[in-house]
Amino acid sequence: MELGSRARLSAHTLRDHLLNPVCRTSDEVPWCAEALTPEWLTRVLCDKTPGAAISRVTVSTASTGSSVRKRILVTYNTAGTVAGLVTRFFAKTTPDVLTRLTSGTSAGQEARFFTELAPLLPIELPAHRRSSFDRVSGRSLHLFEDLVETRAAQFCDYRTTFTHRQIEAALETLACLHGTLHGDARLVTQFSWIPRYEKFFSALAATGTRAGHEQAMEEARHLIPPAVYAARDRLWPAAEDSLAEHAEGPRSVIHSDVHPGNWYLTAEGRPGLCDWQCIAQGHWSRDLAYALSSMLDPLSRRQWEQDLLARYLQALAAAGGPDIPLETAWHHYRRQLPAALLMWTPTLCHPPTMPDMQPVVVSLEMIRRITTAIDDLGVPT
Amino acid sequence: MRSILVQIPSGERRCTVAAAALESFAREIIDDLLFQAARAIPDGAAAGQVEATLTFTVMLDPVTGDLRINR
Repeated sequence: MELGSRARLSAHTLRDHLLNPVCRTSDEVPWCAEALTPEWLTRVLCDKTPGAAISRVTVSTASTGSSVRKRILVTYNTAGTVAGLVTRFFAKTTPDVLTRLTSGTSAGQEARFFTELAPLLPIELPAHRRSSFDRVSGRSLHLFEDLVETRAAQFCDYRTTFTHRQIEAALETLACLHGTLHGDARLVTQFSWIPRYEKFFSALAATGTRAGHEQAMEEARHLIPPAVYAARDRLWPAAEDSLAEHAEGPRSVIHSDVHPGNWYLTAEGRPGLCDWQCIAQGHWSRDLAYALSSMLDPLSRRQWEQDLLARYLQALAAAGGPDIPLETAWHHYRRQLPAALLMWTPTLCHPPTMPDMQPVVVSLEMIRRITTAIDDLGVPT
Repeated sequence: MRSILVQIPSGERRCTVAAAALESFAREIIDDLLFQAARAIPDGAAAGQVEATLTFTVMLDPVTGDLRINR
């Protein structure tokens, strides 16, 4: 009798916790950051520096959400130290059953983004050093250089106040992503591993998120504009209707989760984008609507959105994307807002198979901002 | 609610359960048990063993006299 995926991932998680296996060869997938050994890291990080080796690994907690994030400090031998190798890293892993159910099976997409697609994109990205994943067990690890050390970066969150230039640069980053492979034949060949957005949405819906969305509309009612709350029964159908824009094509590569917590600012103030596990083939306006409605407080958004949308369209065309009239783009922007909201209502009230991905205060603020944008641009009829 | 019917034909001492239903019920119990056990692991800890408990109700059909085990 073969068990289903939930039982399989649960069984592998239990086995990992009970055995606590360590990794020594680089083709093994560490089950958690603490299972990283000097031998494994030496093979992964010192392969281009003859004689260099790692003698010590120190792991400390960073944050937990859809994956468990840890800071890794490594100590090198003399050869590694003299070569000036990077000592601080950032690891994303899936050690428990909820992170494996949420991120373990999609880890391959983030790995392939960094190894196959990122080299084509002239945008600010984390320095990726290694990804390992195993679909059967749900084990995964993504290892990055710690941007705080290497680029003096600051990670953003809902409290970050982006300047006009910073948000413009963030939209230029998205335009570059969207324009580079817009309508490209390689999306059905070389990059066919990037799932279509509709699949991402249906996978979300299949986990019982609609009930969570409806519950969240009640729990966050005090923050939701009355007209949007009154139209709450039309929001999920509106998000489903917006899937047609993706299917109509031509498609772009989209990030799908461009909320402020997935951005960082380098020391020069340049925005970079991380957490690429939700990458999809879809309509560029999905990212645009989500970014504008979640990254800016409503006052700044109202003041800047026309100008920012125009700048995005210029950058999209310059990056190889379509030439879209502002009025048409505005229609797409408005239509994709309910789908952006659906990233946060099920985060506030999630099914038992999903982890606490964000603090409640973050989910509430994202719901407030996005529903305010829906109210401003027109409630779905 | 997952359930399985245990039939007790009148006049017979044996109880019967449909094989396909038994496999399906067992699969769902194992799935629940493993998931609950995996969720019970303390964060970031290597565990010696993990406890998991499932609760069932057993009901009698007053007409047929059969039993139904509910999860």
